[in-house]
Amino acid sequence: MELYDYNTCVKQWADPLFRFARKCTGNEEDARDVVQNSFEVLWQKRKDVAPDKAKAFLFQVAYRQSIDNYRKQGRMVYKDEPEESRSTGPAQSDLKRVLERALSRLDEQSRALVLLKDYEGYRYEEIGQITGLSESQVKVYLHRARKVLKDYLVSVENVL
Amino acid sequence: MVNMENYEEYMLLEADGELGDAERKALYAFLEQHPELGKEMEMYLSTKLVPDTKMVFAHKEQLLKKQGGSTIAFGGRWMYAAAACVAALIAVMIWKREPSATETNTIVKTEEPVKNVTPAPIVDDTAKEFHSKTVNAIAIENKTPVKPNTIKKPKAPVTPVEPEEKIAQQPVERILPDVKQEIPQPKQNTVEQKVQANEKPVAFTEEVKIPVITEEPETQQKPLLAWLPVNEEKKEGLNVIAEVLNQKIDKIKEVRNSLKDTDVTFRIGNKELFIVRL
Repeated sequence: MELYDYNTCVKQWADPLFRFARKCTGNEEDARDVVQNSFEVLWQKRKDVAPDKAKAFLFQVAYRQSIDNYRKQGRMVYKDEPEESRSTGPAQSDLKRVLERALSRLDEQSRALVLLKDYEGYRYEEIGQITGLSESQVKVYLHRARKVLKDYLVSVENVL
Repeated sequence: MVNMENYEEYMLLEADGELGDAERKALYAFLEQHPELGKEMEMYLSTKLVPDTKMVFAHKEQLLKKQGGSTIAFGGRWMYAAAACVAALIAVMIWKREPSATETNTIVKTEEPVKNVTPAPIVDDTAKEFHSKTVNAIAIENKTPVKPNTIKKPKAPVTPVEPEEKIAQQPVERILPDVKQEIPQPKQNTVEQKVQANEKPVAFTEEVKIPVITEEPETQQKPLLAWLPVNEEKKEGLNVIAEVLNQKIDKIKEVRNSLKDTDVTFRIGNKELFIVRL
């Protein structure tokens, strides 16, 4: 990877990586640290990483750092979520808000799997390479996470 | 086939976007047959997260790397291209220096045949002594063995002068008048040769001294300047220029000698690219 390829990766993947780190850590400052560290690692390993593999490499580094960050800080606390959800319509904002709360109830690994699947559209196999899990493990963990989210949505509807 | 035992797995795969066209058709056909399961399908589809594109990494330029930054100065290809250009320049400089040194050597070498021509026909012992001394002296200085056979043939030593004319025209031209004057001498009688031999030891000694480069241009410039229709003032200027050139030649020789047996290593950072042995 040359200098031009690296800078192209920054322009192309900084925002998606930040969104992923933001949801994993629940904290904007920690998310910025994760993104900066991930790109720094990519720069140091640029000779070993092909340009078409840079995205997966970045998310892999960000995933590991998010997990480490979560373990250091303990249970995370989401910030600024209500302000973000107000940008959409009332029904959608309610749904989004509920989903955010449901997402926070997941463990860090399941949360990362759901984000990689829904935000970036990775296949089971690709998620396995990023997280170090097998394809069947990814499938099982993802299905469990979706069931938790679905059950939380159902419970909120029942309460409402 | 979708049934009541596996429909939930199909719903999860559909929420993940992992179902093929055939499997999706089968799932929705099953749901049409079981409309009570439609709500559950909607709930699973609602769990799919949508990224907020308004959430961006502020000041993305902080992540960019610039050429010539603290990490590396050049990219991989530029680095090797710059090193190759530097190596090519040094090779061209060294190649250009060498002809000047060979020219000075040719001046010395061209004189040898001329000197050796005159003692060739000498028969007298004294002349032979001088002959051996001068020949050996010249041979030692120029590191070329001079056989007596070559001396007896005056024409043979002269021939090397011709190809050298192409390399150094002026020195050869200066010598040629002297050669023309000396070539008919061997044809004379032995007595005359003795006389010449007696005379020539002085010339030999002078000529032995001449291999010193600094003396040669002066002794040889005179006949050249005499040929040229130039004023005396300009002749003095030309002499000055010749002196300066000789000084430059000496400096180049010194640099060349200092560069001998040295290795030039090209490095960028801690990485050793290649070594040039001079």
